[in-house]
Amino acid sequence: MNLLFLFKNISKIYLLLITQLISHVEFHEYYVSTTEVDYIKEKNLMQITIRIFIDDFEEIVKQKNNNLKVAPDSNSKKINEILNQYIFEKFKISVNDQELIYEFIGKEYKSDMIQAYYEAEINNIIKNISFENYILFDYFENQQNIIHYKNDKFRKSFLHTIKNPKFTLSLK
Amino acid sequence: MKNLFYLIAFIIFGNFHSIAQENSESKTQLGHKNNNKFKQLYEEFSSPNQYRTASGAPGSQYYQQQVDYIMDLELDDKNTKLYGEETITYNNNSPDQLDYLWVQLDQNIRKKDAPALEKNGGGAEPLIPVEAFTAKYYDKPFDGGFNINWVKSLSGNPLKYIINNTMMRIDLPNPIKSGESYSFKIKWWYNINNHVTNRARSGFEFFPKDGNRAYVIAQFFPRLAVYNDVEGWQNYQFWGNGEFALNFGNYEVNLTVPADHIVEATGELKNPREVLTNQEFKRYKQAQNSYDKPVIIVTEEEVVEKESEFSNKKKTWRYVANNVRDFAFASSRKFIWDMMAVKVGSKKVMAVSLYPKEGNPLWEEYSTYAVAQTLETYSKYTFNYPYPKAVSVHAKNQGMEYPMICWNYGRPDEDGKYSDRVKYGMISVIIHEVGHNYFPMIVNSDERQWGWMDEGLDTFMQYLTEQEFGKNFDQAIAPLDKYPSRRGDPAKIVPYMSGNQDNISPIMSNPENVFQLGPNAYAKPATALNILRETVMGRELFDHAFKTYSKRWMFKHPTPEDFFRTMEDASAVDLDWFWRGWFYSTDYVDIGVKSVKKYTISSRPSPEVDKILSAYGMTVDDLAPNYVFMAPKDNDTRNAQEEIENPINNSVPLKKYIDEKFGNEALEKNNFPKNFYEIEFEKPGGLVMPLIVEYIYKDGTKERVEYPVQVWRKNDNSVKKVLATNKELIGVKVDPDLKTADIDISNNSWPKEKSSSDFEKFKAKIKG
Repeated sequence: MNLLFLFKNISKIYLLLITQLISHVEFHEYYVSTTEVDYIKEKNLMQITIRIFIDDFEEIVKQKNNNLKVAPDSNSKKINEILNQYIFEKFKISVNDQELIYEFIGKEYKSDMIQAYYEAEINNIIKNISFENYILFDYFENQQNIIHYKNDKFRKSFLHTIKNPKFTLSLK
Repeated sequence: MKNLFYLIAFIIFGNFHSIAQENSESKTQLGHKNNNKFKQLYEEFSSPNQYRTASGAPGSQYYQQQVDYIMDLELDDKNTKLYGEETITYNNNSPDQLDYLWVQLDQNIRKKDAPALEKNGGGAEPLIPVEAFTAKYYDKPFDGGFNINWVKSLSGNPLKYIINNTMMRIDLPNPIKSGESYSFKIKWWYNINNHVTNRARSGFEFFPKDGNRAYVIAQFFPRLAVYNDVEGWQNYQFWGNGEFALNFGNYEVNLTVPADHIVEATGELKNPREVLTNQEFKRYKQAQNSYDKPVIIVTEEEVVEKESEFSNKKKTWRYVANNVRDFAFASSRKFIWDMMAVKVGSKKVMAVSLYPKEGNPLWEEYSTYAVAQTLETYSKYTFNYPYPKAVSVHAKNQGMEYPMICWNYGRPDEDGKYSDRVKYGMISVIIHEVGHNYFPMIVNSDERQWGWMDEGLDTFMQYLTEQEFGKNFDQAIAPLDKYPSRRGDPAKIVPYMSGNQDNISPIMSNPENVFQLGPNAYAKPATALNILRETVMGRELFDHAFKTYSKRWMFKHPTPEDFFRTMEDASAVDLDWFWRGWFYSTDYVDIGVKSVKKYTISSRPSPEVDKILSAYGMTVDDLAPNYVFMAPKDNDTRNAQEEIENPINNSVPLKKYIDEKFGNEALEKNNFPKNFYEIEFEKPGGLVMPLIVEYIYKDGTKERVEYPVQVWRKNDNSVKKVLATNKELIGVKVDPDLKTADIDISNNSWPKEKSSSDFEKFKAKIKG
């Protein structure tokens, strides 16, 4: 991830929500996104499910286009474009040191979360896999992103924060 | 024959494996302490005594201090300063003599050199918003600590004091003996912070368009620390996360503000005639009898007119509050004001809202109704709301509670539009913060030490209230059929409880030391209580116990043990395992089904029995003729010759027994269970939970069985159960309704259900 790009993006922030040390506010004061990455060996597939609070997602959409409404979407096509542009920028997976190109399958709203689905084909044996997750770091200083990685043998969780946006997992 | 006796005992208790191990291993095992999940909490709990009983109620010698305040306050809006002079009367109800008093100076957390500013570690941020960057590295720190003018006795003699950060010790000329009281005075002032740019629970919001400020002011005056049987002086410093520990007392407050401000505060307004215009006063009176809808005392039009006036005159609002643990107020010329009467028991309570026009149209529409719903639901589950009013004040980004008054977020866009998220966020926070009147304002737990005792209980009650709000105001939640609660539903805590253990603390931790206070002190305890109510205890037993706790500790100071003990005491449900697992550990629920084996009644012992018999040098003929043989059905060829339709016929002793007891007719009717399924349940998770199972039969019927949690007490990893039935079992499902916060449901079914991730479901759906 290009840091310079991130810094450029920050200047666009129109609303800043800082939760400082004295924050007590109950407004889902834990800014958390959860991403499940499931490697399904027999299908040679990597399935990615990204869960973000709808109101956080609303901020992302509003910043690009103030007239759009989400959940239900006023314009699904445009909202999906904004979603994908954002996710492709902020969430990177590399397998065996090569960036993984993943494809948008669709999204749905579940209670107060948006669930976005992505998929990629994996045709090699995975020797290492790394995750860079900058989702919502440009909105919330205290944002935390959890990744649950799962294959047929084990599962492992990672907590990405603004100071630890990247994790690598070596498999054998 | 003695051998045989043991043998049978082993077979009955299913301990074959342990025999085999004892025989083959001669290594001495290490001993261990009592690690049983059901071990009682004697080590974690302090001993009950005359102050706090083993039943969880206040003891015969229970005491609490009372501290009364008389205060003259002045808000200087132009210079954003607050001045105060207070007379404090300390009533020593403890059996102890006190040589000094500790006074809390919470505002000192805003001193420019407060240690709290440096409490967190962390390196250079690779990425930081510009406002945060300049605030951190360029701006001069704001100096908002207390300036203490003097501390004097009533007769005017200066008292010796020393300030240690957010605590001030006052050394008394003479000790205060048990049963005595002592009065003294403090004069102080401080610079009020902007709570929006400099996030805090108290301060002002500045509105650049009209140049006005809206003040929400709290923990603003020197307040006595709590002295009790548990902590001695609770003088744990205020670091920012752990909130407050406070004494009950009576307040008389004279609050001087610009003449065109509208004020709300803890307590009853004693001079409405003096501070309100004639028209305002008329509406104020009218509101006292309006039970169906709020009456607007100060309208938006009137506020818009006032916004540019900036009166130079002053008015003094007089408040009296009895038996409260704190005092807070809100003041601005921007405030719109509405209120309605709510009947709580036989008493009238005013539900009140105060908001700048920026909160409309949302606030006018929902705030006061949300307050009213909160009073109704909480009163039903705890005790009738004892104070005369409950006020919801709109302040940007705030969600903070004080006696009778609280600050809440939820602001529409500038064009007055708002999303459902903003609406539900606002209603939820109002319910939550008004609900805090019960926990911790009245059931006065020590927030400095235990954040969850008020946040967890309140978030649990918030869930119940939101669901009732949804039922009573179906128009407000349309097109949804259920209020979208963020917390309470067991499945919603799974991402937190299944997360990296390095970032999780037990609920029983000081709020300063937990990694994520939201899930730790709010969501997890609220979910735990919800599970306790719905799954472990049942509503009737839970509701009675919860109410008992609330009533026992109403206007008193409970500890966690008082809560834990009362919930058991009033219900006869042993819950030590629940508190130990959910509150004292970071364990999680993961229970599954491991295997299913089918048995039938056989004429001969199975190879398994043969093997054990031969290990003891015996054969089947050595057994007395009164044993029933069970054999695995599918992989024993000998069963082929046996009767399958009525397998009782396979067993001579069983057939004889039934014939003698019930007659031949019963035998021929063949209504006795003939299929015996041995189901092995596994428990990879550390938490024990009741085992909720759904058995699915070939004829399309289903059966729910709940095995008590005690089933795990001697089998922490896995447990076997036998299902005797006439039907054919085709499926087993553990926790079918997702009521236990099981973090991995891939092992919950037999036969294993194919991956049913949301991803797969969604993919199937879009393919059509």
